[in-house]
Amino acid sequence: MRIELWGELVLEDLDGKVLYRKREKSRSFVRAWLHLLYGHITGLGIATPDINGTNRTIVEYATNFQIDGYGGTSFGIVFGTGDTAVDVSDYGMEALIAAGEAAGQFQYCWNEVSERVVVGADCYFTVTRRAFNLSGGDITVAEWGLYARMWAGSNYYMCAVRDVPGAPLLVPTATVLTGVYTLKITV
Amino acid sequence: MNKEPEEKVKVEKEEPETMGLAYSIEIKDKDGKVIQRISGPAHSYVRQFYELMSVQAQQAGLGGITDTDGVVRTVIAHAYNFFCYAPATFTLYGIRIGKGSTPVTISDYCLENPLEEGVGVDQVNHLATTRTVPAVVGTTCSFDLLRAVVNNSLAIISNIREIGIYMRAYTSYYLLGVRDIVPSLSIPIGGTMSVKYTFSVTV
Repeated sequence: MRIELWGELVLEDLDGKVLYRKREKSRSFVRAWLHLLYGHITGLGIATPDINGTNRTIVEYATNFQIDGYGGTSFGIVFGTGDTAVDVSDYGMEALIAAGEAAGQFQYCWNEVSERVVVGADCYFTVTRRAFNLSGGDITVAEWGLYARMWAGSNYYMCAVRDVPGAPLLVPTATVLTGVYTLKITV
Repeated sequence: MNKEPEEKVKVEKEEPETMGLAYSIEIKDKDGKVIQRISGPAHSYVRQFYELMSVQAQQAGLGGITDTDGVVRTVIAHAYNFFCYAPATFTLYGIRIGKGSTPVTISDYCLENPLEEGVGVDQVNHLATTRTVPAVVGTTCSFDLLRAVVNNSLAIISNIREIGIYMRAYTSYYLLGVRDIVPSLSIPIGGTMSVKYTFSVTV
């Protein structure tokens, strides 16, 4: 039985025509994710970097791990332009693409987390988010990942996953990029 | 003087997964001498672990989750979800061992034949859980969760074939998160068996 994370990127024009699609296995859960799991498993606080690199002592809390919702660029799937190789201690995107319609920005949509699905020997759930490029110019995506909510006396956000695909993806204006992460166990 | 264990078995070795889980087991006799060690990758997250993960990620209630008594529950996002840092004698959550040998399925919701707390036949005294703090070594970050049980009964406990983790969910539900089948093991009278699970992420 294996636990796997798969990432899929789909680029479409505004009429829904698929321009690019790639699905590959992710190897990029990073340290903060394990810290949050540790906090819940043990009930003990642990210093964990938030997405700005500031250490916060996280504790178990009901809203920990939240991904579903709008979240801006605080939680959910996010994209960036940094291409430095992933390190297990990464605490965020190297160069996050901000939310908006100005040059170099994406219009991020709602993060949708599915309920778990059990099919045969598999159990999985997905996280899906669309991001529109309405900036009037091209944006090159070189990294993407998953942020989640964490509690350390108040709400903060941590990087759960960071992926740097082999080749950067050019996202022209007037297109929509969809990221899908699938967390799965397989017998 | 340290003595070499009588038997040391490496069950198998695999390429690490991005979110990994491995186990190791150490058995000592009543004098503290290590008599057996085994280790290997765990193959054993079961569906309840993912159900809790999706509940937390989604921040919504999820029905149809089977607890360790076989009762179907609805679980919501909660601070207690995943908790398994059990104190001594406690068996509702924490690392457990058992004698069941049926292969793991994704829908397992409890150990097949868990050993209960006590000093009677096929009973053990569960010690408090310990842990290490997450640490980064190379491309991996990991921590250990460890629990020992003591055979204070009057007979050897043999044919131990399963280990696992019971987790707390919501306020007072208990879910199987992990179950592994291991080679047949025995705990001598007065002996201890320590089970260590190592949680890791690797890039």
